[in-house]
Amino acid sequence: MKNKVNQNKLISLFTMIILSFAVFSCQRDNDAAQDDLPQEELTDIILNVKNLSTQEIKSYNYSVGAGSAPVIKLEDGKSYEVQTVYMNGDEDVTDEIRDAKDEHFMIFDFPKSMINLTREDPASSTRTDGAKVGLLTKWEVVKVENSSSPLLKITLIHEPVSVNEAQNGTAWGSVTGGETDAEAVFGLGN
Amino acid sequence: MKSILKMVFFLLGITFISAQETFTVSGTVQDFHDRTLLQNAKIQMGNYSAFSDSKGKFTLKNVKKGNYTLSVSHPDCEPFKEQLKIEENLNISLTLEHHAQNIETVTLHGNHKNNGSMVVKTLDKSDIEKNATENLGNLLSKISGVSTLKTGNDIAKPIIHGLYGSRISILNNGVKLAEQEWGVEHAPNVDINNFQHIDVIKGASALKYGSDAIGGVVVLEPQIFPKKDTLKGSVNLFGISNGRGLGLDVDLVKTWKSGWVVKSGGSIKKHGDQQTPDYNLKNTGADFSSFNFTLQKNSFKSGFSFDYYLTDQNIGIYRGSHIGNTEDFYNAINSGTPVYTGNFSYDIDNPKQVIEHHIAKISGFKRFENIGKVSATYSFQYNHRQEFDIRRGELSQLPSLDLTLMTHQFNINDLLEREKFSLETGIDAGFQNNYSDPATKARRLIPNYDKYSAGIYSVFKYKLSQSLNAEAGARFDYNFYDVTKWFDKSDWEKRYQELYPQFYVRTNANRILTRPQLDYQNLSLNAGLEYHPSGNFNLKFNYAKASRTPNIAELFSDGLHHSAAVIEIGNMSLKNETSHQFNLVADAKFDVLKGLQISLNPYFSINKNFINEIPTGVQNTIRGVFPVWSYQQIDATIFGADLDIDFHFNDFLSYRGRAAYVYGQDETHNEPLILMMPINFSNALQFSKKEWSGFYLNVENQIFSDQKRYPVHNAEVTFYENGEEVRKTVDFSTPPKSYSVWNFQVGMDVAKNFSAGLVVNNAFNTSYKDYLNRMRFFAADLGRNFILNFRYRF
Repeated sequence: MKNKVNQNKLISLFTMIILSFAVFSCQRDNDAAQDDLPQEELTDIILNVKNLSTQEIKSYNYSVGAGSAPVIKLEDGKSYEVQTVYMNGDEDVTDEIRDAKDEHFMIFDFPKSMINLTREDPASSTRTDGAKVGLLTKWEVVKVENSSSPLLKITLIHEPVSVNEAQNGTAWGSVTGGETDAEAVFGLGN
Repeated sequence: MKSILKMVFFLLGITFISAQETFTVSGTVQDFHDRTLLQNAKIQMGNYSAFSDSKGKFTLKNVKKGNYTLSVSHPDCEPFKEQLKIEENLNISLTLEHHAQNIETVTLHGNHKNNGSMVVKTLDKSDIEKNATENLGNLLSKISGVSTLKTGNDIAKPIIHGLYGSRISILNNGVKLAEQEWGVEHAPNVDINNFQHIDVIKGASALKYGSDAIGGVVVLEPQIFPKKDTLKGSVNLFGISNGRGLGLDVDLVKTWKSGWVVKSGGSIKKHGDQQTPDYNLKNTGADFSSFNFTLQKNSFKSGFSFDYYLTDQNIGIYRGSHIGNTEDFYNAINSGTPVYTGNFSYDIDNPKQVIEHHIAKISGFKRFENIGKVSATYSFQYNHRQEFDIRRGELSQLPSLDLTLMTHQFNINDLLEREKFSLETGIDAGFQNNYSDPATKARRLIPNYDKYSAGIYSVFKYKLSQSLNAEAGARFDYNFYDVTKWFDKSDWEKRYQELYPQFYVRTNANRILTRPQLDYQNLSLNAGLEYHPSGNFNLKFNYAKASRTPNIAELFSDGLHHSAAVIEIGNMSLKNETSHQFNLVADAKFDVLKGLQISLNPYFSINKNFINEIPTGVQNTIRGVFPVWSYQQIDATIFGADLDIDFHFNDFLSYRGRAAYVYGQDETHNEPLILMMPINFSNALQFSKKEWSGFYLNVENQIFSDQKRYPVHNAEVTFYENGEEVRKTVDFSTPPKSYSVWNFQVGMDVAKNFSAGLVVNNAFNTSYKDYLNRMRFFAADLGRNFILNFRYRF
């Protein structure tokens, strides 16, 4: 008899413990309706291209799903200073890349043109290993249309194992490892 | 004359009086459990005794009127005593608890013997102990027809006859694991050391365990404890060379004669970066810890049990598997030595998975004379999964996936057993809630949902004759999903607006909030025959029609799957998938040398509305163009065969061979199914001599051939080389070459209660890639591994 009483008490005790877990499941559904917009997506890459002779700035916006790539107007023999801006929707998020400059590197590829690129990043986007991210660059245009349909491909690499600013084939800059966080293609034209 | 007459009358009178005062007590003695008639039961009342005959009948004659203690005893039974007043003829029916002493063996063998027509293969405690450091997926691959779908060595899911994920149920001591099992990179949360034996039921015939398990069920069974006063335990300390790991597992069991049991135990294991034969795999360390507690009281007639299990894992994912875009994937596949090697480290950085899983279960049973054994089980599971990815800046501190899954399951089951038949009926009910925390600031891979489920089943087994058993079962399930999901406006308008306007809630800029409510009904059936004309031959055949409800990922996946570099899109319109399966198992024993046993299991299944991921296009994202894979329903045919051979040459030496073949075809698109296990063989020689301090030595060779049947779904990328546009193919599809590995196991008892073992896996340090390991794109598989363990039992 005593055993049976103890048994019943134990069963009730354990049932209580288990049911108390059940209570937790009911509390968090109020924020189930909270949207899950990703905070680190990039949606647009904007190039602010300043003609160093005329000091005129033109902006070119590449966005996913825009359809066609914007065409950057460049003149042979001229130099340009280019500032790259990254957007998430309406928000300028370039500072997020500056804040994590040691994790980022940009590669500029002009496969059908002869353009010399130098990185002019200030300290705010110069990595600890000395390499410059590429948010501010100078383009010395020799010949825009070296072969047909010239283009510029900009790649933002996240956490590469190592980076090199030197020219690699037609691309300015190379990496080992890392992931492509963003890729933009702009047409080039006179 | 007169005196003689008087004497006669007197004698007659005495006789008459005596006759009036003696009675006959007769009856039958039966087994309480299944009503079989018990022979040789001893029935004793005072000085009167008798033995029951072959029909269980007994008779006690000339029993004087009076009060007696009737005592009935039988070998293997608990004795039965009752007070009886004899004042008339009695015919009594006695039931004895037969098997009471053998409850361990009978129930243990009961699980194995009474499988009816199901195809079951078992790993027993010695198999589990010899591989104590392994995870469940790797351990189960020792069974023919079972392979593992891996994401690195620490994340391994079982594949049975080509099916995995939601198509396999894993039962931890009767509780179906609820743990985001739909994910190919989600390992089961199980510590194999908790279990006495593991049964793998191949195919869909185990209706009792649910309807989703079209591929099969893994049944993890803990020990059944004897009813005596003992304190037992074991401490196992082990070291792992590949990964420089160390671990400890401890078990303690106290049992009492009254049937009370208290058991507890736990384990911890840690290892650092693992190595291929040629290089270090950066960020492949892992931590694992577990705890268990059981409190039980059992007798033959009734019992209850409270069980608690906890597992905690922190698993590093190979750094080189986190891919940015398809071009990155091309570079990763085509580089010889991967970029992410580096020096050994114990650090576990991003990407990594952190999973905590709790199970609390309370169960009880009672045997009734008329309705058999009734058992009830309630379980609660809490699973918290966080996946950390490579993220920009401070966001890398936040998980990009944070899922909390709570599952309540309740079951009532009745098992009625009689001599010629058994009938098992039950009801299941469950509630599951998934919460996907938006604090991750990343898109939810799967939405928040509540899932209600209910099922009812019945399995009838009948003994047609001494050598032929038949069984039939049916099960009906109802599932209801109540989901809260945000869609991109363009997606909603393109795909679902016309079909499901009733799920729309509101619009917020370019996002739509919806509340899909979907319900599914499944009817599953099975029928089987078991023919065993002698102890040397056993033939089983079963047919099952099983239906599976789509899982949450198949319905609502939405987003980029990083390590696969594909965008996965779910489909809310998916219907139940149905599988018609035929399984045959032939087991034969031959009297060659010390015994030859061959088991052959061919199987065939026709699957309708089989849910499969198929590439359906590409999508341009900020990272570049990605292939899009969508969930669709196809017709699929899967068939194959498993072969097991056990040949004992003499008392010490035996051969164990396993082979398996699977063929899978997508009939709708007329191409092979992806990720079908290639033909594989395992040949082992086992030497054991108990007289040499329990010494054993096993040598095994495994061969995995290259899979020649695979669908070709590659991606194209454009590179600019020397100013020219060059198109290249990213080959995701071609399986790797065939390979062969050698494994050794040796062990012996070092001292009393103290044993040691050494396992050497991939003894010749072969460099290989396995088709079913998703890491094969980025790196080779593990090199040589020495695992040394010391176990102390008390």
